[in-house]
Amino acid sequence: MIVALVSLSIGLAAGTNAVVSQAIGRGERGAARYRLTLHAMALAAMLSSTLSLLFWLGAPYLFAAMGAKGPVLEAVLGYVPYWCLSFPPMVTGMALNAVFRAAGRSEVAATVMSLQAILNVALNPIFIFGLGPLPDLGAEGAGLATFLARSLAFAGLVTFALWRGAIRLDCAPFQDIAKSLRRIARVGMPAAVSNAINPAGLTVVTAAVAVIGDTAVAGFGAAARVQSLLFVPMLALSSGIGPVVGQAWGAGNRARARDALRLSFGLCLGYGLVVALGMVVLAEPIARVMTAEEGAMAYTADYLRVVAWGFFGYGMLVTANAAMNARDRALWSMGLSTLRIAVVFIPLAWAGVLLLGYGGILAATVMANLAGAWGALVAARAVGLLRLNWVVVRLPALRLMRALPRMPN
Amino acid sequence: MSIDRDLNAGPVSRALISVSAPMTLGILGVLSVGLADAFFWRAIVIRRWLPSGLSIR
Repeated sequence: MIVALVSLSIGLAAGTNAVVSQAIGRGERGAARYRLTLHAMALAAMLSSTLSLLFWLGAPYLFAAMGAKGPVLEAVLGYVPYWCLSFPPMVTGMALNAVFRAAGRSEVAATVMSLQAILNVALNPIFIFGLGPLPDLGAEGAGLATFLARSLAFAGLVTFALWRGAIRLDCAPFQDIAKSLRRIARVGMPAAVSNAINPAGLTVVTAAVAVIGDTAVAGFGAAARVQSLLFVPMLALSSGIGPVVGQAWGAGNRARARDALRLSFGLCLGYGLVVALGMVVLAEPIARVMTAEEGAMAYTADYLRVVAWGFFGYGMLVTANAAMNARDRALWSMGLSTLRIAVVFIPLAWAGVLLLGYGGILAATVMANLAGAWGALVAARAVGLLRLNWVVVRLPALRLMRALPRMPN
Repeated sequence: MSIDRDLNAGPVSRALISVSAPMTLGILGVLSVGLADAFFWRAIVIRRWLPSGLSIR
């Protein structure tokens, strides 16, 4: 549930980045730009507040339906109100962060994200276990720490934005608001789905792993945690390519947008191969650190050793998605992510585990990532972000362009 | 707006790396909160409920 809500905020940030970076590329300055920033923040604040309220009202029923009861339900419901209060400042802050990123100032976004994380981790033990006069609040303390960290980070970011002139209120803030909201939502909504679909698919695949047993699930889970760390550089690249493509596209410099995506693909391929080679040697030591029992360790090591050969494909997929979002083609990125998960990953994982056991899961993961890479090449070619004339890329791209000639987005 | 950096100027590789590299740190920060939350939730469970007979796997 929380992953789905956070995906919405990532989607809104993608929409904000697309609209603002293209405006910068077109050379828009002055009141129109200030209005865009305020409209992006207002949309984020409105949507996140509404969702928070709905989540807060529905939480007792939702968690009870999920099987939580007694002290566990009590603890979760102690945490939820603080989380709901912290959600609007987080999402609105992410929208403002997206404005800084679109302007090429990702160091501001990164600093805010890091300081918020440090603050949250530092406040957690103080409020959870109590310190001096502060009482031991348990789960409520975890919620309070999250709320304080997000609110302080948001307050700091807004103050910085006002000081640097990124936010100004003397810009007729209500002018063109409907137009801005439509433009941001047109990219933001499909981008939110793109972001939510991967963790949702992973949940279904974890259910397939559970067919093998608890030890396999433990090993798979540990491997997924290592994988999320190994993906960080590629995720950072996907954050970086949006502003570059958006500004280039806004300026009408399509060749530069294509250069950026080609370079990103090359970096994903290079990094992915380095990681895959590294895993030949390091998979086992890493698995030993990440797991408590010998059986789970073998599952983790096997996953890292095999699946790492497809990491580059996932990187190409997320960078292509970010580039397509920045070029106003978010429905394409949503379609690509959905097809990879629903048509390739989940069916292959279930067929694989029933026919081949854990090896089938590993094969399905690699094939899903390779399919993601191919899909990224085809979709990027179809929307004009890549000039690649390999038959296996050009022909499906042309067919897609003919089949979807009036696709609005 | 005084914050703008022209990403259309100079080599595309420089523009791409200059925007992407800082985000590595930011994303690591977000991941670290997730890991810390998992650790603290486990600690909360152990501290509050294990003595009263509930078990965790």
